Amino acid sequence: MALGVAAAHAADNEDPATVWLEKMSRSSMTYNYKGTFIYRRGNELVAMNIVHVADERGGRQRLSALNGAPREIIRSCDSAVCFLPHHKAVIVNKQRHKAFSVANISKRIATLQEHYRVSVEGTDRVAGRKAQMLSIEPADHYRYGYRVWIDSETGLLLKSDMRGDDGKSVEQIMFTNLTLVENPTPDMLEAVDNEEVMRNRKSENNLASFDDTSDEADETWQVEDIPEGFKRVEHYQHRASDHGELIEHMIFTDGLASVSVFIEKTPPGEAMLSGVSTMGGVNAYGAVVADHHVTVVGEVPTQTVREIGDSVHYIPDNDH
Amino acid sequence: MMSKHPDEKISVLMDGELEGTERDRLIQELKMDSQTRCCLERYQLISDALKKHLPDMLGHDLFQRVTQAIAGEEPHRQISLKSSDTTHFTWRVTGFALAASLAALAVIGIQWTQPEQSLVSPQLASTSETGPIVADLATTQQIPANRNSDIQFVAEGDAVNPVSSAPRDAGNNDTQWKMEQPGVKSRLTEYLINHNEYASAISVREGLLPQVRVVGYDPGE
Repeated sequence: MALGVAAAHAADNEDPATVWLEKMSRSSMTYNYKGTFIYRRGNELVAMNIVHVADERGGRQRLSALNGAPREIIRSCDSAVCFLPHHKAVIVNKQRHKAFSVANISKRIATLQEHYRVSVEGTDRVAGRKAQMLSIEPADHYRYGYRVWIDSETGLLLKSDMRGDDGKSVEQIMFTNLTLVENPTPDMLEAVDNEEVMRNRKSENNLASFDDTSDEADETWQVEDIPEGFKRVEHYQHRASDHGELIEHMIFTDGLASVSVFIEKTPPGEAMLSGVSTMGGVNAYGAVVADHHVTVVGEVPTQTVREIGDSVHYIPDNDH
Repeated sequence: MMSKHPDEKISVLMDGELEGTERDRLIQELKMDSQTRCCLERYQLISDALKKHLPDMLGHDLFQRVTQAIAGEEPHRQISLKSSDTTHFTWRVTGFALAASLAALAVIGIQWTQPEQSLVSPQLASTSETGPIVADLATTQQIPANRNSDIQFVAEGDAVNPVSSAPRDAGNNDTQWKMEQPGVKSRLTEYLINHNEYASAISVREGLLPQVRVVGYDPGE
């Protein structure tokens, strides 16, 4: 790790905003840190603790809520295990998952800048650290805008403010303290080790497991009219542990915002989402299409999930 | 004991004025008393924001241990409490007692550059549902001035309303999934977890900590 390495060394002709975005993107794979931050969503505040390790095994992270019922998620490159109250533990196995790659960051940022105007604002101070402010304004109302405060030294996110079409804040994150370490301490390594947890949990019944069984698209399902700028970038099939049915999972992104479309056979007698549901910056939309339930989830405005959900169609094989 | 005001009960516990069976009984009662539990959580949130300015005597893991104890786990005995006369109740300007006393005064809008979008929203600051719990204490405690403090202050009588500390505004449901069926909520949450994990690799959103939306969601509320 290179603590103290200066901010990204932009070429003279490189856009400073691009440099900062790239630096922010790389930072999660570069630094070991732990800290506390506050997450605001609507009229709710949640204090959270984060431990992040980036070493030869890749980026790993533990995120824990400090108030309310205990909730946490422990993530690694190929799996995540999430513990929520009144809920099964949720394990996501991503063996076929295409891991985050530094090599693609520049391309992603270029894509992002087709649909957002990114500009460098002033400097500020957050959690006792000097921060560079960026404004990320969406080109249309299909996506949210952001203001982000990026640690001047490391590029780590110190504060963010997601904003809706009306300019009002949708959700905010702000670190209150951040401790960087050259090498992760034993307690940090232990905190982010989810393998033992997963071994134990897999022998139990109180979990919901999602294993990606295939990365081959089932083209009988099509999303025909998606808002401009969103492109389908992944298509997986998961097998849900509770009912064993395959779940189609398509992912769309504009480089910053992302939307998932889940399609599963409507479980008999089971209530499913119908219409729109909102939780802070996340919106979901559910509808029934050809005896299947379609659920769209993403950190995008209501209109976006609705339009994507309404454009999902089933095209039988013989129509191809 | 439970006839005391909720903040008194917490103060007694936090100030180490209980031990043995009396302490265990209070913890058991806290398990059953959602109002007091929320009060405890509120103090913790405030403490998190303030802790750079609080005396070192406040242990960073105290809340976690108490929370575990409330959840019925083992660490009851790990809480180091000292004996004291609980019948003569006094507030101490230390630790959680200080955090509690600040609740009606301090807004943890930390260096927000846009006042209209402060971390605690205006409507939140004017909420009165949680104010009475601590408002009577706010006038009796002094907050040490600190030029470098990240803390902003609002008018006396305004209240902080952190998560899970008060009943939700039925007209403002956009912080929770909008449906009553627990099964639908669970499924949406599972979808959200999947979405976060898979989508992080294909955009620059990983740097924006998307997982906070899962951990920040308390489905039990």
